[in-house]
Amino acid sequence: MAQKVLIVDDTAFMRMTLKNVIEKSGYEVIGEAGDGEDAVSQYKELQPDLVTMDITMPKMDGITAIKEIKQSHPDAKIIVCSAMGQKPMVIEALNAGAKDFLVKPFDAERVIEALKKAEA
Amino acid sequence: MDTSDFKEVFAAEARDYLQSLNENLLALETNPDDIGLLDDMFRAAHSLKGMAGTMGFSALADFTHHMENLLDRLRNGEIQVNTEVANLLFEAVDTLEAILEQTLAEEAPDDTTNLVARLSSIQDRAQGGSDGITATTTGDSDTTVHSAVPELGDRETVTSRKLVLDEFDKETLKQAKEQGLSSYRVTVTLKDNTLLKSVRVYTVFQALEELGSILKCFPSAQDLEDENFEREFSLLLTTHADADEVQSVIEGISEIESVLVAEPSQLHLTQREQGTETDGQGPTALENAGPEPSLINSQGDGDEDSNSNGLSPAADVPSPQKGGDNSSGNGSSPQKKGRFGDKFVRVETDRLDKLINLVGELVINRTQIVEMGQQFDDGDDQNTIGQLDRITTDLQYAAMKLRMVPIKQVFDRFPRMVRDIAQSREKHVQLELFGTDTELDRTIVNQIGDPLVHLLRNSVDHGIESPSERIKAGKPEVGTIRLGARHEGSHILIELSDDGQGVDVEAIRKKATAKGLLDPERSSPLQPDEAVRLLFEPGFSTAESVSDLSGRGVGMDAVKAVVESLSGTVEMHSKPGQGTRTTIKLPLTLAIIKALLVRADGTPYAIPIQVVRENLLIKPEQIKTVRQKKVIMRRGEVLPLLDLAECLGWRPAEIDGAISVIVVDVRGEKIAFIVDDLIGQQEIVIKSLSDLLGDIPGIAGATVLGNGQVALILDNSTLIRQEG
Repeated sequence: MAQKVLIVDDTAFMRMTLKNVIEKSGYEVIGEAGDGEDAVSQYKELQPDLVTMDITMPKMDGITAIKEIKQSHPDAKIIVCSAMGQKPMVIEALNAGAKDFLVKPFDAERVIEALKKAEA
Repeated sequence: MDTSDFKEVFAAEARDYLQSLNENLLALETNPDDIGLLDDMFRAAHSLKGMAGTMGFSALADFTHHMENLLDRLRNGEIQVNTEVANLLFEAVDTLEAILEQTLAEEAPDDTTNLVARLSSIQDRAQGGSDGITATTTGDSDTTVHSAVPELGDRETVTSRKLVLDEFDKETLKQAKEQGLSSYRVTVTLKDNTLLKSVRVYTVFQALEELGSILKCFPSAQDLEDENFEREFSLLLTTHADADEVQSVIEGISEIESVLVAEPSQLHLTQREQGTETDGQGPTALENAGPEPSLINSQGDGDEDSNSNGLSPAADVPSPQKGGDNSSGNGSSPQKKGRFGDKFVRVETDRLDKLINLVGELVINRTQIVEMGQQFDDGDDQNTIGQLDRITTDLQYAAMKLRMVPIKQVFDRFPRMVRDIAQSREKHVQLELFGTDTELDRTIVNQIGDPLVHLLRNSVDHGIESPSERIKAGKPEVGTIRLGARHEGSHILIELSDDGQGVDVEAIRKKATAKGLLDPERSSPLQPDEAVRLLFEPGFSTAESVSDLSGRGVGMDAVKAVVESLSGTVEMHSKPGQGTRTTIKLPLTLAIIKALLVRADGTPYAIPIQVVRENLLIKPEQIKTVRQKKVIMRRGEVLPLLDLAECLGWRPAEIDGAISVIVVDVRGEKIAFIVDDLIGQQEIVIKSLSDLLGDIPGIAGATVLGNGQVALILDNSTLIRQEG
């Protein structure tokens, strides 16, 4: 069965590009969230196998969202998505339990590699 | 990644972010201490940068990056917001907008070197000589790091050889062995083009710390953190896991090109070099030392153990002042309104129009079926038909709602515009907006912007007085312009008022006289409302000189023309010394209009109801001839009388007995048309004529009537011009 992915990013554009790449590689995108709060509640509801998590978002940032998700679901597989220059935050996200990180602009192969490795 | 499909979504969202930058910047000007605003702006710039990067729009991404840097410093309180900063940001937002539009249009973007230099210089100045700020900019070096690739081969071999052990390390290894632990030299090569290499290294360390302890690494922890290495690094690990396990753990990490796990015997245990960087003395990061490696703690006396855990994840975390603060700031700052969090679907307008068109067809068919059903009068059928009727009506309503957009879309750009105009005129003006959520038809929203811009410009330019004049007149120094929208029945009212000096009646009198719009002999004083009416006369423009603000030769008559083309009306009232109020009344939607159906030469035509003044029956003898043209007299007015069919090129109606006449009013001009007869009043769905037919003078579109017949919709303005 296809692995289910939840995409979290505050820009619809980013969600769309990610979704495109992810679905082409045989994953199923079961949800998209536009902020951290939404991500936490969608995670609980949808129980995805994998999550891509943006860091900078309104309402609740990605790091807090990772912490919250990890608290209730320690096995959650979350890949944090960052931009250049967000190193300290990526490290914080990794410490919070993110499995891997992706750097924008995304490279399709990297996205898939991250998903495959996180899934294992 | 092929991104061309996403360009439209990108464009729409990028414009949203620009708008939000603009709005927040305006708000920031009045509340320079509002960190929440800066956070929002930073986020907007940041998101924009990411999106632009993904699209491969490097000029846009680069510029946004510089802006983001400044915003980051601002929100961290390193730089204070002052007028200079605000103006620079305004300029940056404008430039950003220009680059965005140029990029979208696939034109070469403007050169931003100058502005970028100023963005950085303002940061440099604020920085002064103080330390500690470098941390915020280290991340920037990411962008350039992997461009320096050369001579890998040589350096790599040197690199691995340089993982040398001192006496202390050897002792640690020996003890580890006594405890039944294995030691490995792990050499990892990252993939080419790995981004954020230091963080990737960190994930490797993080993973290995779960298996055991890292004794030492090369390059040094500091160099790894600063990314002073190419692609390869090595480390010494003590663990109870076997080599294969270590290998597979690292292979499970992304962006790893290769891993080599070697036995300690292969380590260069003997060769001792005193290279300072290998001694592990350096890393200052160690001072905030994390958890001790649990396995080899026996040596834990004295300060030496700082040598041993060279790069534990905890120690490697770059001083968290930035990351930590930011994230908690983001998390807790309450959002004013979830502009971007809201759930919206972006749909191409073409698709929307198609849907609405189809619903229109359905509505017409519904009418036909209801008519057919009445002929059969079967109870069950009536029920079903009644239901179809209701559902179709609901569907029609829902589809119409899709076309509706909040007028906010138009209003949004005004605060900035008013600010700029007021600043250049050295006036103090505040713009109050209300009813911004009022929705109206997208077509109207798209077209009402220009007239409103014109009215606003007039208000700032002519209405609001200079601060000194205002004080002299006993008014507050800051002038107020209120712009709002509200629904009223099936119409929307847009109201613009200012507390300025009102229209200058004397200036209008002079100008109107000069332009021949007013009788120079006239002795009675011009009333304000009369003066306002003159303003709307074609060719009248009050500006003394052509500035870039108003008075570009497009006067209020242009405003009126646009509003009327949208089936609306515009009214202006002015009180000398107290201000001017302009009210624009528009229909909610243009897709469905109320029309009067008439017949001319046997064919039905629809005339938009708002231009119909009255309909009458006249006798042939009431038709008079003035200068070879037929006219009728109506309440003391002489109305030209035309035959509708003849105007359209058909056979004119026979004039005998009672003649049906409708009087239409177009831009104040009343004309009487002879028609065969009136069919009645009806709501019609406007369909545009196919492109094949093009624009036909006198015809605005077509509609399908309940009986399936097609009726052309008359466009009165062009019809009259034709006869002119």
